[in-house]
Amino acid sequence: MYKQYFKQAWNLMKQNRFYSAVYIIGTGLAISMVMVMAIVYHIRTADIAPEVHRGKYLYVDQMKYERGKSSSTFFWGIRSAKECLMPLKSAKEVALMTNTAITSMLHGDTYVQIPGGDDPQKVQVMGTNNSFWRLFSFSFIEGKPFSEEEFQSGFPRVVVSESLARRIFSMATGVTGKSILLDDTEYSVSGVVKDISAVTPSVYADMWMPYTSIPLVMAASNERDVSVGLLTVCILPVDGMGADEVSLELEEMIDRYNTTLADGKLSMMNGVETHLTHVVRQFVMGGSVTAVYLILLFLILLFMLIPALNLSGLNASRMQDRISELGVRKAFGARKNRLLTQVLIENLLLMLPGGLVGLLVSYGMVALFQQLLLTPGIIAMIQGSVQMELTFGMLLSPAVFGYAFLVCFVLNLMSSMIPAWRAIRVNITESLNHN
Amino acid sequence: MVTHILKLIKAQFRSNSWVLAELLVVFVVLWFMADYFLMQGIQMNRPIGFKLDNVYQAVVSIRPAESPSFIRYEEGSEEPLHNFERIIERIERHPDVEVVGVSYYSLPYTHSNMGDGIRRDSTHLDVRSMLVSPGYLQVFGIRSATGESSEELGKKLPDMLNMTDMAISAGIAEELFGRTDVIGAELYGYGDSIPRHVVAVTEQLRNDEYDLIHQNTLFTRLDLPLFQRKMGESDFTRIQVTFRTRPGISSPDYGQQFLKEMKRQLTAGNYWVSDVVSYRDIRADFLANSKETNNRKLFSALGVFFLVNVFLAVIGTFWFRVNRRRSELGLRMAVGSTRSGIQTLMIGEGVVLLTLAALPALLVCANLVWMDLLSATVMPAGTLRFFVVSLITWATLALTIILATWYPSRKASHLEPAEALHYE
Repeated sequence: MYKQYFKQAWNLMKQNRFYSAVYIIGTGLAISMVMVMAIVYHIRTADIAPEVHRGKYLYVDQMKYERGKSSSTFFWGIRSAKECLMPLKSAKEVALMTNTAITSMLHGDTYVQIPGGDDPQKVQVMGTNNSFWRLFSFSFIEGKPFSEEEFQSGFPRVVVSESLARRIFSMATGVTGKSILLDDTEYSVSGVVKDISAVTPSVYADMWMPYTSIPLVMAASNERDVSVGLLTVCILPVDGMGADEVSLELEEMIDRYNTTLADGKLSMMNGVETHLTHVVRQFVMGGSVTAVYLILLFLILLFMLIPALNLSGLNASRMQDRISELGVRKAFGARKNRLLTQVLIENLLLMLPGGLVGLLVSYGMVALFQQLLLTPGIIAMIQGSVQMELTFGMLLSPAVFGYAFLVCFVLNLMSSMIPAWRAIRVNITESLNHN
Repeated sequence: MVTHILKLIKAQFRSNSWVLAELLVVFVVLWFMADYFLMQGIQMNRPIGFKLDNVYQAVVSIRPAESPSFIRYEEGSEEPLHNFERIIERIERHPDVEVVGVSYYSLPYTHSNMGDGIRRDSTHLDVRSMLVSPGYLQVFGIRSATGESSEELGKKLPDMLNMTDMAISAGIAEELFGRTDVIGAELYGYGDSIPRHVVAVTEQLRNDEYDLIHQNTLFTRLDLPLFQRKMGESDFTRIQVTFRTRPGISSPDYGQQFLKEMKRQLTAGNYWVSDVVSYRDIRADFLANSKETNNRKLFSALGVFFLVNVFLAVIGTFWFRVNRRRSELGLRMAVGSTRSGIQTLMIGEGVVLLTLAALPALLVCANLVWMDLLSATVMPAGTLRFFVVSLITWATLALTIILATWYPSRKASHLEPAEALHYE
């Protein structure tokens, strides 16, 4: 029976080529807009190396330090991170890293060159702790991350990206153990990793080193500067625990920390955030996250509604031509439900090539508008354009195809139901008389 | 003819209802987009005040204190100041360079700036405070409110050695005095008890194209020796060095050439020039990454999306219509309608359909405007604005519909009357 539907749909498609073309383009267009949103959602939230546990990651972004009437809002400081975050029992791993954008904005750019070289290159440097390498899964071309001891002692060791190794040493392998000058301070290379795409902004940099080796970070000495500073945090909770447990424990730790302070008070600005909230917040820059969700929902509705109206119009016109055919079917005893199912399936089949076209168009649009869609606003403002590599793995995933099919299905229901139902309800004699 | 078309539309109301509904929604959405584009267009074309041709910024960096080659000066030594001045001097001496300016957090097309406030009697005004050298005004070609050249304006700045002298932008003068010839007038800073004196009034200035009509700007002289007394060595890297080259000297990568040529000379003490960037590039970068540009791109994509949808809906519907109305069209031809007459009739149907949808849509828009949902930052929401935006929206959609009906209507007008009548 379904084979019959398929045949019929195919014949209808061939019979009315112009209509089919318009219908397929219409569907493709409708799908593409929603799919752009779905792809962006996928790239930002699915597990993409090195952020391999995005579903579980928790973030605590901004910290507020109050003292008397003055307050400063910043990220974690070296002491608060050590005393509040590292001992968390509900956390399996706690990665600390410096915020590269803010650091270079406040303290100027960092330049790197080989000893004796004469061509300093501007680089993005990220100071991290040791857990960073366990929480995020980097792909090492050679060498290994710096060790726990090296981190603790602030040893000048550095992991560089493949493209940076090529820029400085003009080769990507065989550089482990070599020295480089970072703003005239000597560091030795401990490993080379594959380049990181800016779609994972939490870890995006050209080189990573123990934050304990960065004087800028460690120079903090007064109570305010060790409580709030340049460190951002990503937490992987212990299996079975989530944001609530971590949040509860962290509140406790911060309370305890506050009792050790002379007269200041540390608190979280936005609490413990999941990956999704964290991503949305990066894009809205201080606005309300709920408002963003509402706007997105409205956009999705609008993107579906307009094409649905559009396709409904086309369907209605076509159904009018087919009323007599439906009349014949009814005269021979076909039930209304059966006819409705048939029309819906036919339309769905007609919609699938459209869906494919739409998916391709949306890939094109994501590639074209990647800076706009994928760079968090704050990074774009400070650093301008960033390296944004999109791999096939990010785009061609079952999840994305799933979203595409779902959108097709919903759109089909929205656009075929009413016209089909109206055509089927027409009285048999009338429909047989039609034309 | 319009009444005739209205009758036709009424006769086929069923198949028109979908198109009408779509046109209604799209009209409202596009109306707001048209308003947005119009407002942004008006705003972007207003004068900026800063002239950027031939202007370059030299980025001064400092060697980190941990570096082995770092030179340690005694506390309070004037050597860092002299080193910084040496770099400026060397840029100034370059034959291509016309004038050099220094400033502190006072460049256009940046996100960093300093705020301040001034008052006259009981009127307070928030302003952007700029600390600049006289050369700065020449580098950016800032004229006075009365049109004097930037050289003449710059000559007035040396008088501002004491912190109580200042130049203000025309906007401040307008708002506080209602006129711009206010040289010598007295103003107070927030919390000040000693008055400050206006020594010059500049033209209106904006940080960038997306900035409002004008940015109230207050210029005070940046005096490097005074700066040295208050700040440390590393703070000098926050001082912005800009220069203008002589007319005729410019090439796409002039900044890099300049840097290469001057690299050795542009190092003094712990300071070195790490980059020389054309201000045109800084502007392009700033605009490309600003939120407004992103919004514009997004809205353009949405606008195209909606227009293509309308196009498809209309072309599809009219295609079926032509097929179904062959007999009617044949009859029309038989009784004397010309081919172009038939085509006009069908296109007219599309346009009248749009106008029918536009009436309730405009009612919706008017209500939304009345509810103050329209941004009034560029100009207040008035009847003229409403009228112009409505016209633009209608015209854009009408054009789309004419394009969409063109092909089906051509097909209709090329029917052979005898054949078409056959269907009767």
